[in-house]
Amino acid sequence: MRLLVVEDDGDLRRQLAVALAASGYAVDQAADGEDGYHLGATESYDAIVLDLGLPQLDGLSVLERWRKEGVATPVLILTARDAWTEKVRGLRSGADDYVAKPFQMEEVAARLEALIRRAKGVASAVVTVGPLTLDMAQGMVYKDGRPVPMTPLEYRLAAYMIMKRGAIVSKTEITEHIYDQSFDRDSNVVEVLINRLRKKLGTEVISTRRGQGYVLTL
Amino acid sequence: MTVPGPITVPRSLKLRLVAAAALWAMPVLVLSGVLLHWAFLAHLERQLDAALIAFQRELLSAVEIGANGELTLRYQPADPRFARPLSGWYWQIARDGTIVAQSPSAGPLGPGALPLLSSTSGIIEIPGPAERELRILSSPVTLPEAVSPVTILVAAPCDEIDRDLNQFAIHILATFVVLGAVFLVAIYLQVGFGLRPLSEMRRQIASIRSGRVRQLTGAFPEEIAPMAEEVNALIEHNRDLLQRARNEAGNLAHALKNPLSVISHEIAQLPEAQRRLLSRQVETVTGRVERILKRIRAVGPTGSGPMHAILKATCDDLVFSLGVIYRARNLALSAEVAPDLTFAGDADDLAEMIGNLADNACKWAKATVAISASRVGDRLHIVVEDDGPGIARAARDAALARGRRLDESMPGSGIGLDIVREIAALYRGSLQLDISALGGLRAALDLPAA
Repeated sequence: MRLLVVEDDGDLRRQLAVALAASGYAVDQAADGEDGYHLGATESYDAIVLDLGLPQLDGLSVLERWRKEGVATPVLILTARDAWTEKVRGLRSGADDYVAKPFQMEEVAARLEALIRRAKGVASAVVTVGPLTLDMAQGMVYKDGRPVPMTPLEYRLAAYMIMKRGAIVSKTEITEHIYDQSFDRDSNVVEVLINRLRKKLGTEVISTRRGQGYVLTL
Repeated sequence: MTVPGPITVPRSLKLRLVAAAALWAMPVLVLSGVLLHWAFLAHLERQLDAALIAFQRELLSAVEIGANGELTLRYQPADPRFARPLSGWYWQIARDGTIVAQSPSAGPLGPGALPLLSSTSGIIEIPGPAERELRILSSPVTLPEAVSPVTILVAAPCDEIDRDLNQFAIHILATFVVLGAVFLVAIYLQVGFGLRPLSEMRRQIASIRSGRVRQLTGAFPEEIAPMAEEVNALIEHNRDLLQRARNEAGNLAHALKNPLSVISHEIAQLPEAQRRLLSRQVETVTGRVERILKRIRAVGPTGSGPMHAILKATCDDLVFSLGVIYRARNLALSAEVAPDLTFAGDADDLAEMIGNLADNACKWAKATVAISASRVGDRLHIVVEDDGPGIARAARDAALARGRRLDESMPGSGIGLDIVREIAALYRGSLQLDISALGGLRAALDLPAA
């Protein structure tokens, strides 16, 4: 699961990034509207946290541009402007949720999780596929009811594949959704990661479709 | 029409002008009356005097001195008034202190009732017999054949003049009262006509306040055109101030809320013992800041922006927005609002009031939140209700009290209902809490309609 945080306040942005990374997300950051717009328009994110009062290009314009260009990524507006008129404007411009500052970190995390689930068509916070169970609220993966300890990266991959259920997930898709921007896309880290996950979940759980990607065996 | 005393200055410009006009018009009318009265008196006296002179001439020509010096009247004046006893009209001819002849009218008076006046000449007024004032013309005449002069006296009653004069005065008074009334009406109409541009200006200013227009427009007379310009400048200035204040509030919000967020997240990382005090302090500051900012943002009825907001547009926006925010809850959100209902106030204020009420309803509702509105006279009744647990009667006042939260388990800063009540109060409106037919809370707003 990969997120973009667009926030001009450096301290707040870093806090968000740290807290969301701890919740199991790969997090990219942008400090102004221009940067944020470009990242959002070119990279694949599962959700975006967007401040409205941004330098260069204000948050609403960024959001409107994304939506006009067909970027459907769920957007959570996080802003100091808490008047209802502003909320209406933000949501009418295509935002999916609205949290006013000052906010509780847990609330933002919970709302992001709900946004991502809905975007993936998953109704509940707990998803079971075959022997695997994903509890997004706890940030845990269970096999046959027993918790499987994982690194954040492994968790993100497992969660992404469980949410995709039986669909084939390509290597590119994996790099796009579980690594942040600093990741070197040309390396074969994905294969290494898949193998580590197979060791923890059982080799039979993930099968390889040559030339296409990976799929969960149900 | 009452003309105010010298101390009380009439508050109405119209009344002031009418009073000022009446102040000079009424004395002029009274003075004219007095002058007319005086002129008519002089005229009546002249007329009477002319009659007296004519009678005296008639008598003079009738007097004849006999060969023995005896005085005889060849004929008497024919006027019947001299024949009617005590008519007030008398004549008398005397010589050497002896009355020679008298009009029959003086008969009952007896001799000596009329003065001899042998030494005076001209017209005098004296108290005559029978309590009547007499106007008397008496002149000594020396006839060619006579040795001593003959005094010919003619008298007329003064009360005849008085009677005519009184009659004239009554006519004059009636005429002038009517004339005065016509004057006042004419002045009133004229002043009204003259002040019409001011009424027009007042009407336009009222339109500005209700938000229908932004500025005074149209050609005003040169006397008040500068005032219209000043008013326009003042309105612009007000608007600028308001906009600046709102911008500053927005900037302040930004400047305060980011650091508050950062601080509270840092505090969350601290050990429990240190966290408790700090987080309570930060929460207090946060609550106060939000309350103050919301208050600054509330425009109220004195705002210079448009003072009318279409209720349906606001409700539709809010239903859409709350539908997005509470998507996961699958609430049945509805707004039954006629498209012609308008609030006489700022659109942002309206959104803030209904938004907070509806948000609160969504937080508590089991499945249904309903917004409805109706117009009664010049008031709007807006009702937001839900099927949640509601608020017990005893707790409703507390819910409206400043910054209170009834349930700490619900997210939010607890300034929902009370800020709504405060904004409503700016418009002389009210917020009532009750039990809804849906089972939950029923919040009813009473606001001015446009």
